[in-house]
Amino acid sequence: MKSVCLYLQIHQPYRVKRYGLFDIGRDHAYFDGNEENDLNNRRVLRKVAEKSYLPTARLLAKLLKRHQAFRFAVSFSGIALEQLEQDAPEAITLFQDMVRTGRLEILGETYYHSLAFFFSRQEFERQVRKHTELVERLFGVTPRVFRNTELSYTNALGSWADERGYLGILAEGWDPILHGRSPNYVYRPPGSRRTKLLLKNYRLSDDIAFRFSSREWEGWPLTTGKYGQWMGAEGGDTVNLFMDYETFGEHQWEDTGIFHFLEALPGELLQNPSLAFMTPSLVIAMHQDRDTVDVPGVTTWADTDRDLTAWLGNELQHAAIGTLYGLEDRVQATNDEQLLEDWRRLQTSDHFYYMCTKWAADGDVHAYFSPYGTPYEAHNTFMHALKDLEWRLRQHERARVRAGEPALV
Amino acid sequence: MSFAFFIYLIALLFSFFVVGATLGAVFAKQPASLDQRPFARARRKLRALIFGWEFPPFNSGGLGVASLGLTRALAKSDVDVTFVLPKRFPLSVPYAKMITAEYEDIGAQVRYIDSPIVPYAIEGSYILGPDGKPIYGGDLVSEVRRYAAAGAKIAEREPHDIIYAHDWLSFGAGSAAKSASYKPLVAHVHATEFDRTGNGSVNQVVYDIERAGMHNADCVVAVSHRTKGMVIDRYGVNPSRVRVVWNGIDDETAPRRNPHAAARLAALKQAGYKIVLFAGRLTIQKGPDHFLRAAVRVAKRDPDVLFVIVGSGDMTHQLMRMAAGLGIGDRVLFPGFLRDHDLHEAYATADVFVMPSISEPFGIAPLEAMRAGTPVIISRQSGVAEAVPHATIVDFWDDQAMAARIHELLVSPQLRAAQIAKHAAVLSLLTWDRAGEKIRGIMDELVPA
Repeated sequence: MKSVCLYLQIHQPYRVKRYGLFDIGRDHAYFDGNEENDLNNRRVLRKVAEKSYLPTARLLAKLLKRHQAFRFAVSFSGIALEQLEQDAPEAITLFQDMVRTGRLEILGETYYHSLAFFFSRQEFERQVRKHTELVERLFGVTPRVFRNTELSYTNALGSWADERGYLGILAEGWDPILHGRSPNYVYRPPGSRRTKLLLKNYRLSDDIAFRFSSREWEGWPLTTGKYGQWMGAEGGDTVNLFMDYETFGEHQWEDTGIFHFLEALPGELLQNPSLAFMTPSLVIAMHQDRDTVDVPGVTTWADTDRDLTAWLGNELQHAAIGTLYGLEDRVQATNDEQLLEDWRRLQTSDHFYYMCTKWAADGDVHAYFSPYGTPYEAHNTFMHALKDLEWRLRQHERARVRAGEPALV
Repeated sequence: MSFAFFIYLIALLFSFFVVGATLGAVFAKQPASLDQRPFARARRKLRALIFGWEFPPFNSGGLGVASLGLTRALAKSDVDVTFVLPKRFPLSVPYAKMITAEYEDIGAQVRYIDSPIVPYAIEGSYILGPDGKPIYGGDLVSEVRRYAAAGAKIAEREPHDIIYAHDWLSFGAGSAAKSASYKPLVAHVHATEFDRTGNGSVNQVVYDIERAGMHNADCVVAVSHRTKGMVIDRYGVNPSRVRVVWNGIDDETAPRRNPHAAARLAALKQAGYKIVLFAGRLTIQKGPDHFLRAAVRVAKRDPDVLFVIVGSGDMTHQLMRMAAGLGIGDRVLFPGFLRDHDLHEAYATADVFVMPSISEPFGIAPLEAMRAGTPVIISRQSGVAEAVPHATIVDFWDDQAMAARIHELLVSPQLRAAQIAKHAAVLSLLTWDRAGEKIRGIMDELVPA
């Protein structure tokens, strides 16, 4: 019996509004853009909810009802859940109902969809804890399987997950780490006692996520019949289909037929008696791990490089993120909840993605996802907001000095 | 030890004397202001046909500012100005007749060619028309030729005693006018191709147009002695035909202030930040990369300093990456192109203004900063350095010295105050009215009685 493990990612950043020199020290609300553009976070959320979150959730709920053997997983960033609660509460209700069936697994991640693991372990832990608490509050479950921002993964993260008792962790099934092995087995990080590694089958995942509507692709048009054949022909124990939730209705618009495809897919695959839908936890429970996969560097699911260069590939990105994490001790010392929250929202990986200057095929993807005119504009906006954050820190520190306390605790 | 100190004191006193004498000599050369001349009204009227390229608010740089300042000043000096612009701008000013070279019946035939030349390099502040679209396309040389072709017709139509052309863009039109009316021609050099390219790759077409214009002229007006030297050395103009007229500044050409605006940048200062300002086009000529190199040195010594780079240009992205790569990405802010009160506020809030130009014919920006009460550091390679001897002068390439001078001004309120105290006196002598008087004098020499 071969598992089909479908996991969908839901995330929406808080984009920084148009922000400049004359706002520093005067306007601390970086994320409340209210113009009619894509820097208006509420506007974006409502739009995506209309196009993707809600119709896809209704469809998934219907599929769970129709097929008792249908299972899948979702991971939400904490800030996506916050925004859904505020502007599309119906989506939260739909997911709560689906979790109650026991056939939707919620995965763990950082609350702010950040790259904190690579910059501050203590901040990373705090964000994971905050995320776990939110998932527990909303869905009454505790994540047992972890996935880090943008599927970023390295041995040290595997060790961390093992120490924290996670059953598994997800990563990209990228050829250079597999050395000729198939992604379609359960693996383990080096030295892991408990945590298993599930690797994305990027070919079959991207056939849906990226290529579904591409007429230049020889697989077009993709039908469930064709896809079912490909799935049946795959070797191994599990085919891990990891992709953005917004593939359905947002990256692939409704008129591409993506919803019809999703609606028909479970039925099609379930016709094949050797295939079974499984959540990540079930895949790990059902299949013996085959081998160790050693990832001393960092892999992600982004771009053709599959590394962190989409977020940390140029000087602008390093300057921005380096400055941001350099403020950690000072931010913590203020005990100012709003300041801490803003600092954390600025950690969301999307801000750095917008600053990416790789302009090959990947650049198109970056431009598609960026609400800013250029990576430089994105950087400039971010740095001005960050200067305001530092300005606020200074206000705290000067007040402490005036009160005769040490500037840093 | 005490003897050495004594010698030092003597040297110091002597240098004060030299500076004072130089200042005196420099200012003595300038004519007294207009109001003090009882017979100014009795002068004959002169009719000047002036060919320009841009005029505020439709300007992208100093050329337009100078055109406005000089035109208005000439009007006060009993010159009736007809100011020609190559395109139709919705402009009207009380002190000059504005006309356009865009008459349908002029029938200027110009073959448009592809040319890489763009006015003032590439920038976000192209001269925009009322429809918000750039007025001049990418093919600048063709625009210049079309303008030149219209020059003769305009000269036949507009009565005048003297022809005046601002910079190479208008030299062709001025020369054509002269060939039609045989009136004397003045070529005003605001910048040369060597300045614009930072002494890099000079465009031969532009150089040839500049050179022909200067040689056709009866008099070449240079904006500084530095530029006069270039006109003589690089364009081979007879020194006896070259005059120097410094640029100026006054209420109308300085960045427009809004007295009711809140002091927005005060918040930064209240938080203990010090601001070092650069304001100019972000092109090789203006030396913004040298500013960053100096900034690195200052930033290391003082955690409270912010560097603000105002402006746009073809080096913007390079400079942002450079700042990040030098490890001062968090210390340098790029607010983009600012104008009017925003620009004034940047000047007024800055603790130090730096103009590190590689090759600057004059450089009005330091005067704007001085007007806003800010101490200035100017590169020795700029013409304005001749006119503001009390300013701090450094070589553009000496980032170590530039950093040292910035640091000194930042840490010493006395040093800042000492420079600022001299601003008013220096600025009072650098007015457009004075420049206009000087040009009126040149016109009197050229136009037969």
